[in-house]
Amino acid sequence: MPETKSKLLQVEHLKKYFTIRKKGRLMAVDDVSFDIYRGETFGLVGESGCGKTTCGRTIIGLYPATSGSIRYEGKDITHLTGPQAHWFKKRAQMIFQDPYASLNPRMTVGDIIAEGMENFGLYPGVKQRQQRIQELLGLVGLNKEHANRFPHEFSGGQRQRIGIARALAVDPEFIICDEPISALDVSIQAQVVNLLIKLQQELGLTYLFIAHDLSMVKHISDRVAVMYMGHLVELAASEELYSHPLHPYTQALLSAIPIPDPQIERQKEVLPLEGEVGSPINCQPGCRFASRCPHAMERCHQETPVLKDLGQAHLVACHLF
Amino acid sequence: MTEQSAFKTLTSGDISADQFVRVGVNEQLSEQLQRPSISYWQDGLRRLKKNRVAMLSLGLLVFIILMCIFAPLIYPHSFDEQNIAITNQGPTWQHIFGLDDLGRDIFARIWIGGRVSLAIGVVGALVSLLIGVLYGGISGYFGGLVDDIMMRIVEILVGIPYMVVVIIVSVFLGKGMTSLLLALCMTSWTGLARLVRGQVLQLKESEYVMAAKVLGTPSYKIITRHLIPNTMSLIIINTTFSIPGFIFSEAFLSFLGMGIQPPLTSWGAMASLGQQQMAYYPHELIFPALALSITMLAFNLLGDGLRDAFDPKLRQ
Amino acid sequence: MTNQLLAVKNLRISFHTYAGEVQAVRGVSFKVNEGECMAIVGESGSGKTVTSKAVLGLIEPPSGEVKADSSINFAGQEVLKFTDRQWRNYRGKDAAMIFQDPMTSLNPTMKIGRQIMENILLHNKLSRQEARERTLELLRMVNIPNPEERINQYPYEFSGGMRQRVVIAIALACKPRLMIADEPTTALDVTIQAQILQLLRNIQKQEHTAVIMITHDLGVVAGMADYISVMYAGRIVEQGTVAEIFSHPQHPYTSALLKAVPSLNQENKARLQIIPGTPPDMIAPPQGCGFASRCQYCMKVCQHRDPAYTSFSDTHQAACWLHDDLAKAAFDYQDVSEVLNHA
Repeated sequence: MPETKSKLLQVEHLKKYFTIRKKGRLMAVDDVSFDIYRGETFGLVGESGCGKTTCGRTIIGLYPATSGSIRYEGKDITHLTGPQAHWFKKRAQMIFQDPYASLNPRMTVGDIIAEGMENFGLYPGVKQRQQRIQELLGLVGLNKEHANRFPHEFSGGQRQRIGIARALAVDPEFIICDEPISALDVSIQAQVVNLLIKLQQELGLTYLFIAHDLSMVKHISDRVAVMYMGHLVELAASEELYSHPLHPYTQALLSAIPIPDPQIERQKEVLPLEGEVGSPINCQPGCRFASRCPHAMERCHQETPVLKDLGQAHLVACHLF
Repeated sequence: MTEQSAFKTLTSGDISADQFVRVGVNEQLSEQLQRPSISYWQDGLRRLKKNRVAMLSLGLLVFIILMCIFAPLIYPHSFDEQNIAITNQGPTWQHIFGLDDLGRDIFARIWIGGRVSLAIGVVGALVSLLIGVLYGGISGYFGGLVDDIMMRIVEILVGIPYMVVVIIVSVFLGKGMTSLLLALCMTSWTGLARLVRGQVLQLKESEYVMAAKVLGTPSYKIITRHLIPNTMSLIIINTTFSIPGFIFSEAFLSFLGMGIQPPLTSWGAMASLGQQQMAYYPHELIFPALALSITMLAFNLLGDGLRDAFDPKLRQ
Repeated sequence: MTNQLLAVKNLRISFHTYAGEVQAVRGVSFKVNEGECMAIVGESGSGKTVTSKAVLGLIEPPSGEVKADSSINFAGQEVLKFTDRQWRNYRGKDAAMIFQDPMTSLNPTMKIGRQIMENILLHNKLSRQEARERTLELLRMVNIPNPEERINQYPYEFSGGMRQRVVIAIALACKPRLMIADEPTTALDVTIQAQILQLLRNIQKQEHTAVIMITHDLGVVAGMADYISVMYAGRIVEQGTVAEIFSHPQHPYTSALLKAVPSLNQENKARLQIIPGTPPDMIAPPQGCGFASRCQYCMKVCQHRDPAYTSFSDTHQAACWLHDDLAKAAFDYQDVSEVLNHA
């Protein structure tokens, strides 16, 4: 159970603002806190533009954090440089969203996978490295002859598995999966998800799984956090979140998932969610969901709700509770 | 119901029962790639080879270059040999393209002039390629303030008409090939610098560059491994297109008398001389002008072919 | 009694590329009745988008080639024999298309009102004022708030979902009898997807428009489609009514596709049933059944002989050797569902 497990990653009051000329600040991630325990899969869901990808990229150090702190194994990694940044990069890796854009089209698959090993001086010697590349290709279900091929010769699902092999090449313990399946066909999504689960069990990996597809997130995650316009609105164990969603946004999000059963789908009631996600530029205090929320009160427009623990580690940020 | 059973008997027929043995999935087989392995460059070359116009242009260019190198060595008449007795003579078997007003053999001069024109085109393009790629690459990769300052400098340079630069340089260094090259190179790299900068800015945000950063790849490797190879095709295409630009600039300046000085010559200088005799002895203008236009056309057509073959945006 | 609107027969389409001939569609036949929704489900590369483009005559020679014996019949006319002029009349007026990406299917430099009006004026003899009225009506129909104001805005001022609504409005402009929606919600968020699907459903009922919906996600069409055709490797492997496909799939691919999506009440981290491998490269289409290399029930015969269609009702057909009497005798079962549900 999470309580007995050690915290691998602690994110506290993380903020990431982008300055936009003449317009002000885009508050992509605004005061987000959560912990990820060793060996678990932490799901982060939300619609496009909610800041989930920015959050992942800030944690891995691709963007400098505006404020707040990120700690890995208790060590502050918010503003790492030089050899210490290297220390973290050896431990944390990322899998990207677009299998067509995340592999350099001019490099062979073997070179792509070897890049990380080279940077960290792992598996020195041509033979050892070749062997490791073939091992990794086998691990993700590709043939070893594929090492000499170029990315454009592969299908989307195969490319995504090459991306996974590249991340695994440095033997990381923590992997941020940034929408790894959203660009793939349904039949291929299951392949990749199964592979991720298998790798987690075999290698003891910890995942931060970012996605907008709630059914897949629920399937793979131990705990799930829901983001809306830079804020975390709800966080709970995945079963709990799906069976008892509390935040009105989570409820609407869940009801919108199409169910592959014509009878249920035709009778099901989609909770009306008026309007669309607003602009996260220069936000005023108040609940960001208030303009679309069916239960919005006076207070919601003035005061930003904070995450409250309602017991059983079910956290929700809403004035209704 | 009857319809259904009729349908079913259709399927079997002549197939023996032993065909109905379960084989299951062969994972290795289902991951197999059907197409032969082919790299980006091989694929581009294949496309280029299928482009007849581009291949014809390439052949023509190779021919012109070979002629420039070897024709003056074999041809019996030297480019500065004068035959005052038969000035302005039209084409004969003796003098294939005829003679000019000083009695010099035009065929010999075409290939000597071609050496100058092509050398200026190629050297100019290479120098501007070097400066442009470095400048644009640095500006794009570091971004922010560096980028702002470097791009303002480019804008200022673009604002200066190159004629002015040519005149100033030739005042200090005198007229001739070096000052011409220097002046052309000083102003011509800006276009490529902007192109490379734009490309690098875009590639810098691509997921594979992010992946490289996450993997701890140092900056110089990101530039040499990810950014440059992926801008290479655009650079090559652009350079091919810029060669005729240099050739024409040289011709234009020589035509105005600010370029190559006698006794050396170039296609532009020859056209300038021929133009004075145009009404009576058109061959003195036609041959250098033809050489110039054919070369420029060939470079442009080859550039088009290269773009069709290598530009990622045009390759579906 | 419903009338048949579109009949596609033995459609075969190839693309000529540098690497060789890619046989994208290899003999597809289906029908769409007036006012009904037909979904074409398949993964990328299965030929579903190419099929729908052929219906609108968007297969461009010289690289694309619709083979000579193909037939697409729209309301009694053979569209493949259309002249350019007939095509122009037909596109937009009789049949319209909604593309996947609302970002690229609108002209970014034109006000959205003009983009809709243009289509109306192209096919109808209306005054500008009447066309404007119709545009406003359309925008209201697709639930865009303040249409009077929105009509003068540019696409960049619209969010993704709103843009897709505009695209739908453009498609509806001339009251087409057939609307082809190519993955209309793939680029959108779940909540927006639900809104757009709801909208399409309502419009289809209101306007009595036939819809061909193309998707890779069976869940999306469960609430909307009347009929479903499942495509794989350039062929239709199974077609039937929604109920037939969802509750009695007769082809291993359909059944695997249904099981590949985790349901919300399934146990966490259980292995999802997957379809192993990768779809075949259509440059060298497999002999026999296209799905054979990824099918766990694959038999010897599947690898070299193409299965014929077996009918289960007037509307339900599947092409699979498992339905052959010899296969039933060899493995001892009455109904294929016994096999498919025994993973």
